[in-house]
Amino acid sequence: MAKKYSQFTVGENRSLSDQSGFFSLTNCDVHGDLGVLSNNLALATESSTPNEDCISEILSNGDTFYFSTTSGKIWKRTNAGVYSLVHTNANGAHKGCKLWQGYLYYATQSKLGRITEAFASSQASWSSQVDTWNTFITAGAYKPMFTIGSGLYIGDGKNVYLVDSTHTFIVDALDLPSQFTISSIDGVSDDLLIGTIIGANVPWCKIFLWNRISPSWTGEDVVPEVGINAFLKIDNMYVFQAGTSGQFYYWNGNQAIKFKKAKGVTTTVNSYNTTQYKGRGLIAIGTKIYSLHRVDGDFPWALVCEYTHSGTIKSIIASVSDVFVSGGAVVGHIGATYATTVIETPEADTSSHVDSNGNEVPFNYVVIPYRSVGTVGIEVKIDNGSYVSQTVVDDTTRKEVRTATTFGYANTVQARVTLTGLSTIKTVNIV
Amino acid sequence: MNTIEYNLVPGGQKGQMSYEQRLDKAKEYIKMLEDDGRIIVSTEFLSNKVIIITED
Repeated sequence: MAKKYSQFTVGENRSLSDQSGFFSLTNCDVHGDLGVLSNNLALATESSTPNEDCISEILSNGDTFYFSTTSGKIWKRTNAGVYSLVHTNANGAHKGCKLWQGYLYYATQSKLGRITEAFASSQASWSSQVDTWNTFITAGAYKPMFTIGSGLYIGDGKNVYLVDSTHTFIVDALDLPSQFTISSIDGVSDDLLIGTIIGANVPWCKIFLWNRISPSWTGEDVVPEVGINAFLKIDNMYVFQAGTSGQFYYWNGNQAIKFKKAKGVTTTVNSYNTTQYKGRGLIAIGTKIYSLHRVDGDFPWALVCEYTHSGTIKSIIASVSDVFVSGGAVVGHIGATYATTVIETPEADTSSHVDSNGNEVPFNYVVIPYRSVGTVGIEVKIDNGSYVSQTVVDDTTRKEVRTATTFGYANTVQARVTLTGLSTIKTVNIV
Repeated sequence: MNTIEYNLVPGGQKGQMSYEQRLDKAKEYIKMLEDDGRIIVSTEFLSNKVIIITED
Protein backbone atom coordinates (compact mmCIF):
# COMPACT_ATOMS: atom_id res chain seq x y z
CA MET A 1 0.00 0.00 0.00
CA ALA A 2 3.05 2.24 -0.15
CA LYS A 3 2.73 5.58 -1.82
CA LYS A 4 5.61 6.98 -3.74
CA TYR A 5 5.64 10.69 -4.51
CA SER A 6 8.38 11.46 -6.99
CA GLN A 7 6.71 13.40 -9.77
CA PHE A 8 8.37 16.67 -8.89
CA THR A 9 8.05 17.97 -12.44
CA VAL A 10 4.25 17.80 -12.12
CA GLY A 11 4.46 20.56 -9.50
CA GLU A 12 1.64 21.34 -7.11
CA ASN A 13 -1.54 19.32 -7.34
CA ARG A 14 -5.16 20.47 -7.43
CA SER A 15 -6.34 19.35 -4.00
CA LEU A 16 -5.37 17.55 -0.81
CA SER A 17 -6.36 14.16 -2.18
CA ASP A 18 -5.16 14.64 -5.77
CA GLN A 19 -2.35 12.10 -6.07
CA SER A 20 -0.75 13.75 -9.10
CA GLY A 21 1.92 16.12 -7.87
CA PHE A 22 2.43 17.59 -4.41
CA PHE A 23 0.06 19.48 -2.14
CA SER A 24 2.67 22.22 -1.86
CA LEU A 25 6.22 22.84 -2.98
CA THR A 26 7.92 25.88 -1.44
CA ASN A 27 11.37 27.22 -2.35
CA CYS A 28 11.98 24.22 -4.59
CA ASP A 29 13.97 23.62 -7.74
CA VAL A 30 12.32 20.78 -9.63
CA HIS A 31 13.42 21.74 -13.15
CA GLY A 32 17.19 22.07 -12.75
CA ASP A 33 17.90 18.34 -12.52
CA LEU A 34 14.95 16.30 -13.70
CA GLY A 35 13.80 13.55 -11.38
CA VAL A 36 15.08 15.07 -8.16
CA LEU A 37 14.19 18.05 -6.00
CA SER A 38 16.66 20.51 -4.48
CA ASN A 39 16.51 23.67 -2.42
CA ASN A 40 16.55 26.90 -4.34
CA LEU A 41 18.76 29.74 -3.22
CA ALA A 42 16.85 32.02 -0.89
CA LEU A 43 15.86 35.58 -1.70
CA ALA A 44 17.90 38.08 0.28
CA THR A 45 17.54 41.82 0.67
CA GLU A 46 19.83 43.50 -1.83
CA SER A 47 19.04 47.04 -0.84
CA SER A 48 16.90 48.88 1.65
CA THR A 49 16.58 51.68 -0.89
CA PRO A 50 14.22 51.90 -2.66
CA ASN A 51 12.43 51.93 0.68
CA GLU A 52 9.05 52.09 -1.04
CA ASP A 53 7.24 49.49 -3.16
CA CYS A 54 8.08 49.97 -6.81
CA ILE A 55 7.45 48.85 -10.33
CA SER A 56 10.50 48.57 -12.52
CA GLU A 57 11.92 48.43 -16.01
CA ILE A 58 15.30 47.23 -17.26
CA LEU A 59 17.21 49.14 -19.94
CA SER A 60 19.33 47.77 -22.75
CA ASN A 61 22.54 48.20 -20.74
CA GLY A 62 21.18 46.30 -17.75
CA ASP A 63 20.45 49.32 -15.57
CA THR A 64 17.08 48.96 -13.86
CA PHE A 65 14.81 51.80 -12.81
CA TYR A 66 12.44 51.54 -9.89
CA PHE A 67 9.37 53.77 -9.87
CA SER A 68 7.69 54.15 -6.51
CA THR A 69 4.01 53.26 -6.42
CA THR A 70 3.51 55.36 -3.31
CA SER A 71 5.43 58.52 -4.19
CA GLY A 72 7.17 60.21 -7.11
CA LYS A 73 10.61 58.81 -6.28
CA ILE A 74 12.63 57.07 -8.98
CA TRP A 75 15.72 55.00 -8.22
CA LYS A 76 18.36 53.55 -10.49
CA ARG A 77 20.04 50.21 -9.96
CA THR A 78 23.16 49.97 -12.08
CA ASN A 79 23.94 46.68 -13.70
CA ALA A 80 26.68 46.37 -11.06
CA GLY A 81 24.10 46.58 -8.28
CA VAL A 82 24.52 50.16 -7.01
CA TYR A 83 21.28 51.94 -6.07
CA SER A 84 20.69 55.69 -6.13
CA LEU A 85 17.76 58.09 -6.12
CA VAL A 86 17.81 59.83 -9.49
CA HIS A 87 14.63 61.87 -9.48
CA THR A 88 11.42 62.73 -7.66
CA ASN A 89 8.43 63.14 -9.94
CA ALA A 90 6.20 65.97 -8.73
CA ASN A 91 3.13 64.24 -10.22
CA GLY A 92 2.97 61.61 -7.50
CA ALA A 93 2.90 57.83 -7.41
CA HIS A 94 3.70 55.83 -10.52
CA LYS A 95 1.21 53.65 -12.35
CA GLY A 96 3.28 52.15 -15.16
CA CYS A 97 6.68 52.18 -16.86
CA LYS A 98 8.14 50.84 -20.08
CA LEU A 99 11.17 51.21 -22.34
CA TRP A 100 10.17 52.16 -25.87
CA GLN A 101 12.20 53.20 -28.87
CA GLY A 102 15.06 54.86 -26.98
CA TYR A 103 12.92 56.41 -24.24
CA LEU A 104 12.02 55.28 -20.78
CA TYR A 105 8.33 56.12 -20.33
CA TYR A 106 6.66 56.33 -16.93
CA ALA A 107 3.10 57.14 -15.99
CA THR A 108 1.56 58.80 -12.99
CA GLN A 109 -2.17 59.11 -12.45
CA SER A 110 -2.64 61.79 -15.10
CA LYS A 111 0.75 62.33 -16.78
CA LEU A 112 3.05 60.39 -19.02
CA GLY A 113 6.70 61.26 -18.50
CA ARG A 114 9.80 60.20 -20.35
CA ILE A 115 13.57 60.47 -20.56
CA THR A 116 15.94 59.16 -23.17
CA GLU A 117 17.45 55.82 -22.36
CA ALA A 118 20.94 57.33 -22.56
CA PHE A 119 20.22 60.17 -20.13
CA ALA A 120 18.31 57.90 -17.78
CA SER A 121 21.50 55.94 -17.23
CA SER A 122 24.12 58.66 -17.54
CA GLN A 123 22.64 61.39 -15.36
CA ALA A 124 23.32 60.75 -11.68
CA SER A 125 20.52 63.17 -10.90
CA TRP A 126 18.06 63.43 -13.76
CA SER A 127 17.76 66.80 -15.45
CA SER A 128 16.63 65.84 -18.96
CA GLN A 129 13.38 64.14 -18.03
CA VAL A 130 9.96 65.50 -18.97
CA ASP A 131 7.52 64.35 -16.28
CA THR A 132 4.53 65.88 -18.02
CA TRP A 133 5.29 64.85 -21.59
CA ASN A 134 1.63 64.08 -22.15
CA THR A 135 -1.71 63.88 -20.41
CA PHE A 136 -4.15 61.06 -19.67
CA ILE A 137 -7.89 61.61 -19.52
CA THR A 138 -8.72 59.19 -16.72
CA ALA A 139 -6.84 60.52 -13.72
CA GLY A 140 -6.20 57.86 -11.13
CA ALA A 141 -6.58 54.81 -13.31
CA TYR A 142 -3.88 52.19 -13.46
CA LYS A 143 -1.66 52.47 -16.57
CA PRO A 144 -0.58 49.03 -17.80
CA MET A 145 1.89 49.24 -20.69
CA PHE A 146 2.95 46.86 -23.42
CA THR A 147 5.08 47.25 -26.52
CA ILE A 148 4.06 45.43 -29.66
CA GLY A 149 4.55 46.09 -33.34
CA SER A 150 5.32 49.73 -33.88
CA GLY A 151 3.94 51.11 -30.66
CA LEU A 152 3.83 51.43 -26.92
CA TYR A 153 0.24 50.75 -25.84
CA ILE A 154 -1.02 52.13 -22.55
CA GLY A 155 -4.28 51.40 -20.77
CA ASP A 156 -6.05 54.33 -19.13
CA GLY A 157 -9.49 53.57 -17.76
CA LYS A 158 -11.52 52.30 -20.71
CA ASN A 159 -9.15 53.79 -23.29
CA VAL A 160 -6.03 52.54 -25.01
CA TYR A 161 -3.37 55.14 -25.82
CA LEU A 162 -0.55 54.67 -28.25
CA VAL A 163 2.93 56.12 -28.50
CA ASP A 164 3.92 55.24 -32.05
CA SER A 165 7.36 54.68 -33.49
CA THR A 166 7.84 58.40 -34.13
CA HIS A 167 6.77 59.15 -30.55
CA THR A 168 3.48 60.71 -31.58
CA PHE A 169 1.03 60.40 -28.71
CA ILE A 170 -2.29 59.04 -29.98
CA VAL A 171 -5.22 59.51 -27.63
CA ASP A 172 -8.12 57.04 -27.59
CA ALA A 173 -6.59 54.71 -30.15
CA LEU A 174 -9.28 52.32 -28.91
CA ASP A 175 -12.12 52.79 -26.48
CA LEU A 176 -13.98 50.05 -24.66
CA PRO A 177 -17.51 50.29 -23.24
CA SER A 178 -17.44 52.56 -20.25
CA GLN A 179 -18.02 49.91 -17.57
CA PHE A 180 -14.60 48.39 -18.24
CA THR A 181 -11.28 49.53 -16.81
CA ILE A 182 -8.15 48.19 -18.44
CA SER A 183 -6.15 46.25 -15.86
CA SER A 184 -3.43 44.56 -17.91
CA ILE A 185 -2.17 44.34 -21.50
CA ASP A 186 -0.25 41.74 -23.43
CA GLY A 187 0.28 40.58 -26.99
CA VAL A 188 -0.76 37.61 -29.10
CA SER A 189 1.44 37.52 -32.17
CA ASP A 190 1.02 41.13 -33.30
CA ASP A 191 -2.43 41.58 -31.79
CA LEU A 192 -3.14 43.16 -28.43
CA LEU A 193 -4.83 41.28 -25.58
CA ILE A 194 -6.56 43.65 -23.20
CA GLY A 195 -7.53 42.47 -19.73
CA THR A 196 -10.17 44.42 -17.81
CA ILE A 197 -11.98 44.74 -14.52
CA ILE A 198 -15.48 46.11 -13.96
CA GLY A 199 -15.26 46.46 -10.20
CA ALA A 200 -14.05 44.67 -7.09
CA ASN A 201 -17.60 43.54 -6.35
CA VAL A 202 -18.45 42.33 -9.85
CA PRO A 203 -17.70 38.63 -10.37
CA TRP A 204 -16.95 38.80 -14.08
CA CYS A 205 -14.96 40.78 -16.56
CA LYS A 206 -13.89 40.53 -20.18
CA ILE A 207 -10.77 40.03 -22.18
CA PHE A 208 -10.54 41.78 -25.54
CA LEU A 209 -8.43 41.01 -28.59
CA TRP A 210 -7.56 43.91 -30.88
CA ASN A 211 -5.61 43.70 -34.11
CA ARG A 212 -4.46 47.33 -33.59
CA ILE A 213 -5.70 48.34 -37.04
CA SER A 214 -9.47 48.04 -36.87
CA PRO A 215 -11.42 50.84 -35.21
CA SER A 216 -12.88 48.29 -32.81
CA TRP A 217 -11.66 45.17 -31.06
CA THR A 218 -11.74 41.94 -32.99
CA GLY A 219 -12.54 39.38 -30.32
CA GLU A 220 -13.76 39.15 -26.75
CA ASP A 221 -14.63 36.63 -24.08
CA VAL A 222 -16.27 36.79 -20.69
CA VAL A 223 -14.04 35.65 -17.84
CA PRO A 224 -15.93 34.69 -14.65
CA GLU A 225 -13.44 36.41 -12.33
CA VAL A 226 -13.08 39.76 -10.58
CA GLY A 227 -10.69 41.22 -13.11
CA ILE A 228 -7.71 40.09 -15.13
CA ASN A 229 -4.63 40.74 -13.04
CA ALA A 230 -1.49 39.85 -14.95
CA PHE A 231 -0.25 38.16 -18.08
CA LEU A 232 2.53 35.64 -17.68
CA LYS A 233 5.61 35.69 -19.86
CA ILE A 234 5.67 32.18 -21.26
CA ASP A 235 6.91 31.25 -24.69
CA ASN A 236 4.16 30.20 -27.10
CA MET A 237 1.41 30.37 -24.48
CA TYR A 238 -0.83 33.31 -23.62
CA VAL A 239 -1.50 32.71 -19.95
CA PHE A 240 -3.03 35.17 -17.54
CA GLN A 241 -3.97 35.14 -13.88
CA ALA A 242 -7.41 36.42 -12.95
CA GLY A 243 -9.60 36.98 -9.93
CA THR A 244 -8.86 36.48 -6.27
CA SER A 245 -8.60 32.71 -6.00
CA GLY A 246 -5.37 32.01 -7.88
CA GLN A 247 -6.99 30.94 -11.16
CA PHE A 248 -4.96 30.89 -14.38
CA TYR A 249 -6.40 30.94 -17.89
CA TYR A 250 -4.91 30.82 -21.35
CA TRP A 251 -6.08 32.45 -24.56
CA ASN A 252 -6.66 29.83 -27.26
CA GLY A 253 -7.07 32.36 -30.06
CA ASN A 254 -10.80 32.84 -29.53
CA GLN A 255 -11.56 32.25 -25.88
CA ALA A 256 -10.09 32.25 -22.40
CA ILE A 257 -9.75 28.65 -21.20
CA LYS A 258 -9.21 27.52 -17.60
CA PHE A 259 -5.64 26.34 -17.13
CA LYS A 260 -4.24 26.06 -13.59
CA LYS A 261 -4.95 27.19 -10.09
CA ALA A 262 -2.66 28.20 -7.26
CA LYS A 263 -4.28 26.79 -4.12
CA GLY A 264 -4.99 28.91 -1.09
CA VAL A 265 -4.98 32.27 -2.85
CA THR A 266 -7.51 34.84 -1.65
CA THR A 267 -6.15 38.06 -3.11
CA THR A 268 -5.67 39.81 -6.39
CA VAL A 269 -2.24 39.94 -8.07
CA ASN A 270 -0.35 43.02 -9.24
CA SER A 271 0.08 43.47 -12.98
CA TYR A 272 3.85 43.88 -12.65
CA ASN A 273 4.22 40.60 -10.73
CA THR A 274 5.33 38.54 -13.71
CA THR A 275 8.66 38.04 -15.41
CA GLN A 276 10.64 35.37 -17.18
CA TYR A 277 13.80 33.98 -15.64
CA LYS A 278 15.97 31.41 -17.37
CA GLY A 279 13.02 30.54 -19.58
CA ARG A 280 10.66 30.02 -16.66
CA GLY A 281 7.55 32.13 -16.41
CA LEU A 282 7.39 33.57 -12.90
CA ILE A 283 4.42 35.12 -11.11
CA ALA A 284 4.42 36.59 -7.63
CA ILE A 285 1.33 36.01 -5.50
CA GLY A 286 1.43 37.50 -2.00
CA THR A 287 4.92 36.72 -0.72
CA LYS A 288 5.48 33.72 -2.98
CA ILE A 289 7.00 33.55 -6.45
CA TYR A 290 5.70 30.65 -8.50
CA SER A 291 7.05 29.31 -11.73
CA LEU A 292 4.71 28.00 -14.40
CA HIS A 293 7.04 25.92 -16.49
CA ARG A 294 7.87 22.66 -18.16
CA VAL A 295 11.33 21.65 -19.25
CA ASP A 296 10.17 19.25 -21.92
CA GLY A 297 7.22 19.58 -24.27
CA ASP A 298 5.96 16.17 -23.16
CA PHE A 299 5.75 17.27 -19.53
CA PRO A 300 2.69 18.88 -17.96
CA TRP A 301 2.88 22.55 -17.02
CA ALA A 302 4.05 22.64 -13.41
CA LEU A 303 3.18 25.28 -10.85
CA VAL A 304 5.92 25.45 -8.21
CA CYS A 305 6.73 28.03 -5.55
CA GLU A 306 10.38 28.75 -6.29
CA TYR A 307 11.07 31.69 -3.98
CA THR A 308 9.59 33.45 -0.98
CA HIS A 309 10.05 37.16 -0.26
CA SER A 310 10.02 38.86 3.14
CA GLY A 311 7.07 41.11 2.25
CA THR A 312 4.06 41.27 -0.03
CA ILE A 313 5.43 41.58 -3.55
CA LYS A 314 4.65 44.62 -5.67
CA SER A 315 6.70 43.74 -8.74
CA ILE A 316 9.33 41.35 -10.04
CA ILE A 317 11.81 41.72 -12.86
CA ALA A 318 14.57 39.41 -14.05
CA SER A 319 18.02 39.95 -15.48
CA VAL A 320 20.06 37.23 -17.11
CA SER A 321 21.18 35.72 -13.81
CA ASP A 322 19.00 37.20 -11.08
CA VAL A 323 15.45 38.06 -10.08
CA PHE A 324 14.68 41.36 -8.37
CA VAL A 325 11.68 41.63 -6.12
CA SER A 326 10.12 44.84 -4.84
CA GLY A 327 7.90 44.51 -1.81
CA GLY A 328 7.85 45.12 1.91
CA ALA A 329 9.76 48.37 1.20
CA VAL A 330 12.94 46.57 0.15
CA VAL A 331 14.38 45.05 -3.00
CA GLY A 332 15.20 41.38 -2.72
CA HIS A 333 17.17 39.18 -5.08
CA ILE A 334 18.55 35.68 -5.26
CA GLY A 335 21.08 35.41 -2.46
CA ALA A 336 23.95 33.07 -1.73
CA THR A 337 22.44 30.76 0.88
CA TYR A 338 19.93 28.03 0.34
CA ALA A 339 16.34 28.50 1.29
CA THR A 340 14.45 26.26 3.64
CA THR A 341 12.43 24.04 1.35
CA VAL A 342 9.05 22.69 2.39
CA ILE A 343 7.32 19.84 0.60
CA GLU A 344 3.84 18.59 1.39
CA THR A 345 2.60 15.36 -0.11
CA PRO A 346 -1.06 14.76 -0.88
CA GLU A 347 -2.86 12.73 1.74
CA ALA A 348 -1.92 9.12 1.13
CA ASP A 349 -4.76 6.67 1.47
CA THR A 350 -5.18 3.04 0.63
CA SER A 351 -7.68 1.32 -1.58
CA SER A 352 -7.99 -1.26 1.15
CA HIS A 353 -6.59 -1.46 4.66
CA VAL A 354 -6.46 -5.27 4.40
CA ASP A 355 -3.90 -7.15 2.33
CA SER A 356 -4.49 -10.30 0.26
CA ASN A 357 -3.93 -12.49 3.31
CA GLY A 358 -6.56 -10.68 5.29
CA ASN A 359 -4.08 -8.85 7.50
CA GLU A 360 -4.58 -5.27 8.57
CA VAL A 361 -2.09 -2.99 6.83
CA PRO A 362 -0.69 -0.10 8.79
CA PHE A 363 1.19 2.95 7.60
CA ASN A 364 4.67 2.61 9.01
CA TYR A 365 7.15 5.19 7.87
CA VAL A 366 7.97 8.17 5.73
CA VAL A 367 11.13 7.36 3.80
CA ILE A 368 13.11 9.88 1.78
CA PRO A 369 15.91 8.57 -0.44
CA TYR A 370 18.43 11.27 -1.22
CA ARG A 371 21.45 12.06 -3.33
CA SER A 372 22.78 14.53 -0.77
CA VAL A 373 21.20 15.96 2.30
CA GLY A 374 21.48 18.74 4.86
CA THR A 375 18.99 18.63 7.70
CA VAL A 376 15.65 16.95 7.09
CA GLY A 377 12.58 17.47 9.22
CA ILE A 378 9.50 15.30 8.80
CA GLU A 379 6.05 16.03 10.14
CA VAL A 380 3.10 13.73 9.67
CA LYS A 381 -0.59 14.42 9.66
CA ILE A 382 -2.82 11.42 10.46
CA ASP A 383 -6.41 11.40 9.18
CA ASN A 384 -6.22 15.09 8.26
CA GLY A 385 -5.53 16.11 11.86
CA SER A 386 -2.59 18.32 12.75
CA TYR A 387 1.04 17.93 11.77
CA VAL A 388 3.14 16.16 14.40
CA SER A 389 6.90 16.38 14.24
CA GLN A 390 8.66 13.03 13.93
CA THR A 391 12.01 11.75 15.10
CA VAL A 392 14.05 10.95 12.01
CA VAL A 393 16.91 8.58 11.27
CA ASP A 394 19.54 9.32 8.63
CA ASP A 395 20.66 6.01 7.17
CA THR A 396 23.86 7.07 5.43
CA THR A 397 24.46 3.58 4.04
CA ARG A 398 21.13 3.39 2.21
CA LYS A 399 21.14 7.16 1.71
CA GLU A 400 17.67 7.68 3.07
CA VAL A 401 16.09 9.64 5.86
CA ARG A 402 13.11 7.99 7.50
CA THR A 403 10.86 8.38 10.48
CA ALA A 404 11.95 6.40 13.52
CA THR A 405 8.61 5.07 14.73
CA THR A 406 5.58 3.59 13.01
CA PHE A 407 2.22 5.37 12.78
CA GLY A 408 -0.01 2.34 13.01
CA TYR A 409 -3.46 2.06 11.50
CA ALA A 410 -4.81 5.14 9.82
CA ASN A 411 -7.13 6.13 7.03
CA THR A 412 -4.84 8.76 5.54
CA VAL A 413 -1.30 10.00 6.12
CA GLN A 414 0.16 13.25 4.83
CA ALA A 415 3.82 14.17 5.15
CA ARG A 416 5.48 17.57 5.35
CA VAL A 417 9.20 17.53 4.72
CA THR A 418 11.51 20.43 5.55
CA LEU A 419 14.95 20.59 3.95
CA THR A 420 17.43 22.94 5.60
CA GLY A 421 20.74 23.36 3.85
CA LEU A 422 21.32 22.07 0.36
CA SER A 423 19.58 18.75 -0.13
CA THR A 424 18.72 16.76 -3.20
CA ILE A 425 16.03 14.18 -2.66
CA LYS A 426 14.67 11.55 -5.02
CA THR A 427 11.22 10.88 -3.66
CA VAL A 428 8.97 11.00 -0.62
CA ASN A 429 7.65 7.55 0.20
CA ILE A 430 4.86 6.85 2.64
CA VAL A 431 5.03 3.15 3.36
CA MET B 1 7.32 70.68 -30.58
CA ASN B 2 5.16 67.78 -29.50
CA THR B 3 2.62 66.06 -31.72
CA ILE B 4 -0.53 64.62 -30.24
CA GLU B 5 -3.22 62.91 -32.28
CA TYR B 6 -6.75 62.38 -31.05
CA ASN B 7 -8.29 59.42 -32.84
CA LEU B 8 -11.77 60.25 -34.19
CA VAL B 9 -12.57 56.94 -35.87
CA PRO B 10 -15.59 55.46 -34.06
CA GLY B 11 -15.57 51.80 -33.12
CA GLY B 12 -18.99 50.90 -34.43
CA GLN B 13 -21.89 49.17 -32.73
CA LYS B 14 -20.03 47.76 -29.74
CA GLY B 15 -20.89 50.27 -27.07
CA GLN B 16 -18.03 52.51 -28.05
CA MET B 17 -17.99 56.26 -28.56
CA SER B 18 -19.58 57.66 -31.71
CA TYR B 19 -17.79 60.09 -34.01
CA GLU B 20 -19.61 63.00 -32.39
CA GLN B 21 -18.68 61.81 -28.90
CA ARG B 22 -15.07 61.44 -29.95
CA LEU B 23 -15.10 64.93 -31.43
CA ASP B 24 -16.46 66.32 -28.16
CA LYS B 25 -13.83 64.37 -26.21
CA ALA B 26 -11.11 65.71 -28.48
CA LYS B 27 -12.22 69.28 -27.78
CA GLU B 28 -12.30 68.52 -24.05
CA TYR B 29 -8.81 67.09 -24.34
CA ILE B 30 -7.51 70.24 -26.04
CA LYS B 31 -9.02 72.31 -23.23
CA MET B 32 -7.40 69.99 -20.69
CA LEU B 33 -4.02 70.63 -22.30
CA GLU B 34 -4.59 74.38 -22.22
CA ASP B 35 -5.64 74.18 -18.57
CA ASP B 36 -2.39 72.31 -17.93
CA GLY B 37 -0.51 75.32 -19.28
CA ARG B 38 0.49 73.67 -22.54
CA ILE B 39 0.88 76.19 -25.35
CA ILE B 40 -0.92 74.91 -28.41
CA VAL B 41 0.70 75.91 -31.66
CA SER B 42 -1.93 74.43 -33.96
CA THR B 43 -4.92 72.13 -34.10
CA GLU B 44 -5.98 70.50 -37.34
CA PHE B 45 -9.33 68.73 -37.48
CA LEU B 46 -9.33 65.95 -40.05
CA SER B 47 -12.06 63.41 -40.72
CA ASN B 48 -10.23 60.67 -38.84
CA LYS B 49 -8.19 62.56 -36.24
CA VAL B 50 -7.29 65.85 -34.66
CA ILE B 51 -3.63 66.76 -34.88
CA ILE B 52 -2.50 68.92 -31.99
CA ILE B 53 0.93 70.53 -32.00
CA THR B 54 2.15 71.91 -28.69
CA GLU B 55 5.09 74.19 -28.13
CA ASP B 56 6.93 72.07 -25.53
